[in-house]
Amino acid sequence: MLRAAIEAGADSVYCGFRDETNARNFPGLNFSPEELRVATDWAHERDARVLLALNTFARADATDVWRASADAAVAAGVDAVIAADLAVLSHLRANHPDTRLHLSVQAAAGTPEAIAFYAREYGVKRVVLPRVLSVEEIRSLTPEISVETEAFVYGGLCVMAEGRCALSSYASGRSPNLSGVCSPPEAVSFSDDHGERTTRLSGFAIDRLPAGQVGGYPTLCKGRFRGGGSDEPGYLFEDPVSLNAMSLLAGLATAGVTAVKIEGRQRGRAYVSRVTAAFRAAIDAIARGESPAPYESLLGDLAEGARETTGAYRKRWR
Amino acid sequence: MPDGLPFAFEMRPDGTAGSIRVVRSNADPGETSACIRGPLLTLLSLFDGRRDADGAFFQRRIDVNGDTVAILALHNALEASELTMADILGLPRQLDPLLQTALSIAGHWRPVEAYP
Repeated sequence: MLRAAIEAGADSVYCGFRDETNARNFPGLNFSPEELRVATDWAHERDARVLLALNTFARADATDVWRASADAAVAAGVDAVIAADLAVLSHLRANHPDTRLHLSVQAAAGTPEAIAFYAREYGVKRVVLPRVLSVEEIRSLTPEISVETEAFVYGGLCVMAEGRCALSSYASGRSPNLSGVCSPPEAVSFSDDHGERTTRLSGFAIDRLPAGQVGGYPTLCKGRFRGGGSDEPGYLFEDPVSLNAMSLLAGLATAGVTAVKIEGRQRGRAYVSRVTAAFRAAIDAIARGESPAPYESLLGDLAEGARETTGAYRKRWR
Repeated sequence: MPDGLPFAFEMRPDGTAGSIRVVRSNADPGETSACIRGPLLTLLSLFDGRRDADGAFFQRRIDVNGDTVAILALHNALEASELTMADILGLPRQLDPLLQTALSIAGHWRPVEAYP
């Protein structure tokens, strides 16, 4: 997938180790330390950068796992480490002061004060902005901070404040911030009854889709429940929908955003190639003074629930 | 398991000794861990990574049941393997463009060049 992203035009690729230190801890995914070293060399030969996501929160009884991953990332020669936890940031700052640090979206730092703290204490050079800010809020924020900014422009959305969701742990005992997964696959099951798909998480039915109706990921936040005085089940937390902010790229650039980010480390080559190529083409079009409109409707079939949104960027979503 | 066809693909991951067999779709599935159903061309495009599996799942082009860990591991292994249609059919890789053309003519197939 790293190769697919770079070949499709990505300037940088973010990835993780094959363990609980990153927020996409799924079977068969991610890199061993040796695989990361080889992939980083491959990327550097093509003038692309590799950013290592070490963005879960170190457990008190297992901090060595996070320290070892941080050391392995530096040894592999990555261009930056993306971290959220103070312990991880502190370890990197103290032991690898020359390693560039990016503040993960999981840290939920969206104010000048919070960002200044991470820049001052840990030397963070870039902050990945929480997905709850509007373009205008970003425009107001960037002159107030001394670090680069990175904004998500495509992929999954969470309803919770970044890094503070424990919803799945009520059903499965695991959560994205501690275990690197929300809805771990061993807790998920699907059953089919005459075309009706029932999704269960740790035995709890969280959705039942009639035949032919599009759906989303098997997470509690995208489940359908009865509530709010209605007998009809509905999406109480969030509709299954994907972020697509391609139409806002020019606005994000003028708002001072340094880099844009495409979510989807658990997705496949087809997704990575198509989304990266479409955004590369849109960014290049804007740079030439042209409209990115021709590329805005190319990705709808990849979206969760087959629907796209500009999320909080347009301030309608909160 | 392809929809409406009398056969199914039985996959047995076993390190370097893994295998894919074509079996009758009404055969006893035995100790199958998981089952993925959908149109044949959709399944083939998932094998070689040409189609996005999550998108196919969202849009109900495929249905899955059984061990979700096994399904996810298979998905990620196939994505990492960079198989071509020729590999899947046991043919020389040089024949892959020809196979893509044949499947394109068969319909419902989107060659690589069609992607933006």
